[in-house]
Amino acid sequence: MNLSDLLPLLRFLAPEILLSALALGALLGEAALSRLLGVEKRQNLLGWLALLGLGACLVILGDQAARGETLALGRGAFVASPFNALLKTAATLAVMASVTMGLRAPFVRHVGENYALVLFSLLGMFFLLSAESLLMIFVALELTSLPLYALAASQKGARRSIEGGLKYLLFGGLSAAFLLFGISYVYGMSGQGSLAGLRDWLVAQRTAGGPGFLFLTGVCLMIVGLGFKIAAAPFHLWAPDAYEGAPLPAAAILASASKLAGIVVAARLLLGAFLPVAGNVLGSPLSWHAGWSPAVAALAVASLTVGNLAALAQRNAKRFMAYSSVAHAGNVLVAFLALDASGRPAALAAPAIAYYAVIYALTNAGVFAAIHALAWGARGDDFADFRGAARRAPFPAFFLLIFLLSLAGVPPMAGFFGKLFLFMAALQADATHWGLAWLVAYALAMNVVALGYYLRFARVLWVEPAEDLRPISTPLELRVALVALALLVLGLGVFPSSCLAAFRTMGGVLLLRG
Amino acid sequence: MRTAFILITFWTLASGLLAISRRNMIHCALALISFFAGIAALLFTLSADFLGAVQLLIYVGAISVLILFALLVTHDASRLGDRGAPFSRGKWSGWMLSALVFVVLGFGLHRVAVPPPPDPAPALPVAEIGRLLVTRHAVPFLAMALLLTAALVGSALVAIEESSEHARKE
Amino acid sequence: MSTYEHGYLIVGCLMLVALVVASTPLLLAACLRPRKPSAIKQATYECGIESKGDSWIQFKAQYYLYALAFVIFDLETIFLIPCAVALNQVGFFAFLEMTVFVGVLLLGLVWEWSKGVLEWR
Repeated sequence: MNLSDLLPLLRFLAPEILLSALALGALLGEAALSRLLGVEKRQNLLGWLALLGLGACLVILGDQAARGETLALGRGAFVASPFNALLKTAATLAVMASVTMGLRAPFVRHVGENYALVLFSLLGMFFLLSAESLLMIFVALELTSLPLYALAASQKGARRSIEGGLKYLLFGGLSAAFLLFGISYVYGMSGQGSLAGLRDWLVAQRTAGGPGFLFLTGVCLMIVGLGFKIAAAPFHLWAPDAYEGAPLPAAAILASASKLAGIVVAARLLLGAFLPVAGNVLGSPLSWHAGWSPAVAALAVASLTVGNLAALAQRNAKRFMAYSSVAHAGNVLVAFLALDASGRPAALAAPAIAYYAVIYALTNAGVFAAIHALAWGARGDDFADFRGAARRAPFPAFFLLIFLLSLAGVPPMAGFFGKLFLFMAALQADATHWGLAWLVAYALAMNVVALGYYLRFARVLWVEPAEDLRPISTPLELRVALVALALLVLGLGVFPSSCLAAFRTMGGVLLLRG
Repeated sequence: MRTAFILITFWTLASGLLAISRRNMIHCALALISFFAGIAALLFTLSADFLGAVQLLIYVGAISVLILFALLVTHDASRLGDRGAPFSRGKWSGWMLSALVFVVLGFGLHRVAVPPPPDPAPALPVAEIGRLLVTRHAVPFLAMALLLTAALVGSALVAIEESSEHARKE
Repeated sequence: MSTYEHGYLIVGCLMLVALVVASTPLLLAACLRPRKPSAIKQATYECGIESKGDSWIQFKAQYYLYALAFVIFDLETIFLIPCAVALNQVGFFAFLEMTVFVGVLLLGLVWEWSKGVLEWR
């Protein structure tokens, strides 16, 4: 390869290169400035620089999306496409909200490292969102998660931060082990490292008597690993403690961008590579095939049940959001099952999953930013601390209401259309036999429960009397972030079908052909 | 080679059992190191030379140091096991889950028709691994550098503050 | 027996010899020595001074940072060795990649150094 071949590559890899430079720059900046400037000044300066860099990333990503070119490197190790650029844009926006939250609140002493870890994690998500090979998926998942473990434990004084970080690390390590073990079986049986190669191998195996029991075991082990990452029940146990213990800016990334990347990679693996071994949960017992969909159906039902019912009983806002995220994992898993009798996914399934993941990430980033603004004057982050907060800080409370309504799925918001498309995809799959109707009905019932607890949180903010009436001031940059996220959540809700159409035309689940 | 494989397997299993059943944490750690060495020996018997060397260098060499250091900085680690049995109350569900995983994996492995290994086994030369690393797997290779740096920073950040607070108290 | 197995047979023989050489004196001593234990003899030997307190004290977590850095750079060598072996097959671009790989980790080291993580306190 010559240097002249390198230049076009650089154009596609520009966001990743810029992010790496930013992360390393934050480290060096901290090293250079730690003796010159105080913590708060460094926090402000490095934070604004990080925001500036992320803004440049957005511009590059927008350019990539507009040009509409695709590039694949190293058998699916890195696939740049307009669709991936859009997903990366959503992840970047969520992380920008998190950085904005951290600009003034002095929550850590090691500022530059904190920003560097955030940027490293985002870089991992970028790689994850454009990975179509097993090796790269694993490396990128680790690059996403490792900084998050450290960030979750970064509030060193607080016992619950250490506890949450440790639990997250242990569960994360275990899930990585499951994923890697599964990958080793899948790769060992097929000899295929790229997702497209795997899919073609599986299609070829159909006539040769199926891929074998061990391959399916490997796929199930990988589902366990992915279940941990997207916090699907019963693998959600780390989430409440990690969310509660992590500082709010870190929890915001856990709940938004990291989740988006996890959902997309799960869709790439299950609906892309492993589609031929989906099996079925529909139809008569006679036509039943073994495959991953019964396992995913079990995860979906468990997540919907555990997430929604446990969220009802929470008294802490962050734990509440953790259980809400478990419930949303259940919602999104429903669309993974939208396969017709011949095993093809419904046309709506993949775009609906991507749309939902993007909406969910942006909305959750908004929720955490608003909670952060409200928690400014509060003692803690229990519901009791937010009583009557709307009177003290009407601005963030209003936006929190918008985001909560979007999570609950109230019509004008994007969250409603996200859920609508997911369930429509599930119903479309096998419409003649009422195949997934039971699951959709169950999900709808659970979403009614969800509406109840989101409104309860809103009631705490708006209806209950405040003990302390001193107003809470919200910094300007946080206001801007809230407005921007709310506009996105509303805007994507006003034009849902055009977003869906854009996702559909930009490419399916997998871009590479085998 | 077959006898060597079986002997090493028993050695590894015995070390693993020791590592989870001893009460003294130092003994557990030493048993774990012996377990790592057993895995390395198994890799050598399977003609995976490079992996065996990696296992020796990383696990026997570095991870074991990490584990022993962790015991060193933990207060009174030798007595951690004295408070009760080395197994927790949930041991039965744990054993059952492990047994289930063992049965499923054993069943799967039993049903796989493994082709007879070619003789001599095709050794993957280290140079070939290197060539693949910098050509086909260039992106994961470079991502690995960033991952290692992130791990360096993250782990140092979790460990550092504790000590500086320690220093302030003194 | 193939040449591959033959190679490791020699390694195994050497390990056996090492084991025998190391353990024979200890075993011999254990068999020959007189056995007269007393409380003073069984006390922990600490440079001849009477030992006080417990032998288990908590060390500073600072030491752990060295172990962490050691593991990271140990891992780096694992990636560098195969690349170094293949260097004359792969050309300039691969050399560039390796430089970037080492450079990124070097920046990590620079950070550690200037943050004082490596100071032995």
